[in-house]
Amino acid sequence: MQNTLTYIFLFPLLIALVMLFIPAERWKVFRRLSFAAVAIQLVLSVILMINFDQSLVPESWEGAFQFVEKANWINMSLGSIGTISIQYYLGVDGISMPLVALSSFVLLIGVISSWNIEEKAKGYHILYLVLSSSIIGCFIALDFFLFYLCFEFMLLPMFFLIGIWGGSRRSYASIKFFLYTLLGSLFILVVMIGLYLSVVDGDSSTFSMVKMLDGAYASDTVLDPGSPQLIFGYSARVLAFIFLIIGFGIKLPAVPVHTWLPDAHVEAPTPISVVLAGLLLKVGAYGLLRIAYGIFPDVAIDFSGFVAIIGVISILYGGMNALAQRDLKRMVAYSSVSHMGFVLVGLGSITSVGFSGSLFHMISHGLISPALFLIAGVIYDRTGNRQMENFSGLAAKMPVYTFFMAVFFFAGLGLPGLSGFVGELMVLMGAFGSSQFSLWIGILSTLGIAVSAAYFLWTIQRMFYGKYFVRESAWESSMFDLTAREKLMLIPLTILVIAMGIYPRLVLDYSNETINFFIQQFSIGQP
Amino acid sequence: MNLIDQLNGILADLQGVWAESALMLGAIAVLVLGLARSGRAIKALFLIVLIFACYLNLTNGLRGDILSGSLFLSVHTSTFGILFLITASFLLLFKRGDKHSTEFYFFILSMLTGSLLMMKANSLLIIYLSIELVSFSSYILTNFSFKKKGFEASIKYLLFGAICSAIMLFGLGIIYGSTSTFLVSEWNSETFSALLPQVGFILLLVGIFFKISIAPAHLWVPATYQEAPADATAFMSIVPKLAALVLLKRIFEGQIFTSNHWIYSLVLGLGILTIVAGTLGAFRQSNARRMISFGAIAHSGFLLPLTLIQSTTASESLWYYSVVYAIMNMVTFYLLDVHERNGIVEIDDYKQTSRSVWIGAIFSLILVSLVGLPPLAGFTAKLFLFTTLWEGYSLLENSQMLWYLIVAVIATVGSLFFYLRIPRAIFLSQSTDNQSINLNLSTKILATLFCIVLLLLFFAPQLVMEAQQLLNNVHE
Repeated sequence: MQNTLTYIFLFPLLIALVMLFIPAERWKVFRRLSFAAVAIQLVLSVILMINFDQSLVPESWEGAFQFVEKANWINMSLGSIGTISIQYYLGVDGISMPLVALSSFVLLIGVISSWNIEEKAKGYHILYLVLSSSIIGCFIALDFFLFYLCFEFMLLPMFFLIGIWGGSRRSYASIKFFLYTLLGSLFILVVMIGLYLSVVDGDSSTFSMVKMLDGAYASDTVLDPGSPQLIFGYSARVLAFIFLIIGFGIKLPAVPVHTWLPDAHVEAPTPISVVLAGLLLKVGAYGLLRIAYGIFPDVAIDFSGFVAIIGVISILYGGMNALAQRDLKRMVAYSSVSHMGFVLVGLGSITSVGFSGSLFHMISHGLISPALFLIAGVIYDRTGNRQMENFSGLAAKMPVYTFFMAVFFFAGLGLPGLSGFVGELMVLMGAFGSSQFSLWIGILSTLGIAVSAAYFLWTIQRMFYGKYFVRESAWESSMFDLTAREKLMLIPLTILVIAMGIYPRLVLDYSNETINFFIQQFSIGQP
Repeated sequence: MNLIDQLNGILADLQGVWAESALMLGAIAVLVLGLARSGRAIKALFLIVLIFACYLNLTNGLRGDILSGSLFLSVHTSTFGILFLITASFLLLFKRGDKHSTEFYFFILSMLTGSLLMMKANSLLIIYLSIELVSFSSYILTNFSFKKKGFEASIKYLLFGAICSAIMLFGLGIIYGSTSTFLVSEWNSETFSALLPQVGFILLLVGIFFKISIAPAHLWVPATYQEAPADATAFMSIVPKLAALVLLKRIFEGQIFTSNHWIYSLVLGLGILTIVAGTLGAFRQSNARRMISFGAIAHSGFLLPLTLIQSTTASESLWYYSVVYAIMNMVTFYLLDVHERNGIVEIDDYKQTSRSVWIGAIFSLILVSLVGLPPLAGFTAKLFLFTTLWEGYSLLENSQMLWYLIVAVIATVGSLFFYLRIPRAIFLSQSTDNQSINLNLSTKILATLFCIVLLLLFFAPQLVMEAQQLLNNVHE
């Protein structure tokens, strides 16, 4: 098991380097190499999942992580503040393990979906593999600097992937995406520096996230909980927590900083939408969970109501917007905003079941939203159009497509037996059982499910029921049912969504002990 | 002390200015050689002079006051000296015709001499003379494109510089009149307690800020950087600026102001203003080089607080940021020059270059480093800057540092927007008349090497710090 995480992390990067030296004319080589790299990533993460010790009860965060790899990376003497020590520090716990597996799985789906990209295939696949590495890196990094490096380094490949291979307004969408997320990540950078100056490992300041989680603060430093220092009249810890909420909230995305998402999704090519919705949003959620909640539990408990309210607003506002969309892909994009709101409500509840629900919902949405974007992509690939009013009665013409559409639309609206239901149910149980905020949060979130049912069902009615019709007669010839490649992507997603819906312990067994330990952190120091 | 001892002391101290003397003699030698030969011979001589000056600089072990206190040598003067000499040697990579090459290298050498003296200056007179030496060389070099616009820029620069220099001279007079000393090292926290010397000090800062291009003394920058030859611009945007910063650091090292003194606040405020002016100014530019010049102004604002805060972090950060800034600016102007030779001047012109993927990708990475994103050294430089400001805030309890931090962070986001306009034009636009631009292999290799260095310095920033130790200790 030694170094497996490194292989998962760096293997795609290595393949990307190899690709640099292959002539661009041989474009078929690139997709095969990409496939191989990501497939190996998936195999390795499955091996890790099998070897993961689910029964490990952590005593401290230090003991919570498995498959830990640690090496000194940068050691630099900086005089008065001791040495800067940055470590190459990897490990997974019950929260990140399922996310790593999800990432490698969705990335593989993304490669299959990119199979037909011929134009500038070399650049595309190199950027895609760099993106793969940095996404995985975010979930396994235990050094804040390494995390931040991966977090930032997702932006540049994404910018070009949307900007070069995207739709007509791609230039606008990609720069908007970049500016929003960079703004967010700089908020995180400021907190990172504050934490670095406050947390010590032995004598020297450290970027180690584990030390930060375990609260190894030097006395009287900026972010030390006992420090009386105020910044503009507020405690530094409160400001840091708010900065993190903004930073990761942009990535999540939470209303009102979500506006980059619909544009980016609509302009991005299908495989990139898949990765964006399936994984990048999860990085935001993971950051909130691991860093904002993990490192600042004392502040989080005061602000949980606030977080939950943002969550509810996202659920309702995202849902209402989805209801108003006529572009299928835009509708799916807004449904993502709405669904990520549930993650916030679960986090806000600060209960075991709420946290588990959030994590479960992250994984489940990580499977459902890629499938939804693939479904939107199917229509777009065939006709170059995805306005809902241009299609109707597709059920008769494309029965297999309709079947998969139905599975994932129902998973999205939370039909029991599919994974979406379990996540939403657990989040709502957490919300209703929480002592942090009033019942209204739970009630309004439940209303959100009704809204999501409305937009999904209405879309089915408009596009799939009724008399068969497409707007342009030229599209007629291309309205064939799913190809083998499309089935190859949708079948595994379907299986997983059903499996997780019937047997949620698939994920929860991994996370239980970690989340129980996590919740204990909130009771320490509370009356 | 008798006369003989004094003379012996002066002779011993001369070791501290050997490098400058060599440069000055070298400059004259370049002129003389220029009478007979041109082109390669001049370049070779230029390189030899630089290497010799480097050797003299490295072997010089003197530190502290020399020559009756008119110069002050420190770790910074010796290591920055090497940085400047290496920067100057990179000018040979630029394509430069034989015409006027003698004069060009002569003025570069004299600017280099002035810059080395500027950061070593301890006496007000030396400060003034060295700044003038640098300025006059710059005025002339600005016009080395021998076009009408270059002449305009040069005159504008000259007029602006003359005013700043007059103001500084006035300030020096006031300081000398009210403190009766020429020597910076004799200043202490009492020196500037009265209003009159304070006014003098502000006027002195005008001259120094003119060289660093701190707002509002930054107005000459865009026109000058746009019209001067690319190699001269690259040099002007790096060496005199960093030299003036080292001088400023030296002045503030004397603890002459507490961190809540109004002058201290004023300087920080001007730094913030510089960042804002540089970033906002860059938004509306259509010319690539002009946009980069505004970016360079913003970078002056980022560098400024590193000279004001007295901590090890600050001085190490200053060194790291300076090295990275020098590399980034050098390669940026190099690539701009390469493109300009192919008729690509405006940002929109870069749309034609979408076939040159490799050089486009390298250029994009360099620009991303100027923004300050990982995994490039520009990020580490910004990280050190932010750390210094955080630390400055918590040590000095000066909330202005926090504002500085906030503005710097927001400006970083803003700078992404304008620096990315070039990659956007290269990769994201649909242009019909795509043409491969004429690049030879050495250009590609060179740009790639620079880029690799920037990557390397991200993954191993300690190299820069160790280099500083190493350079400082060679003479032992």
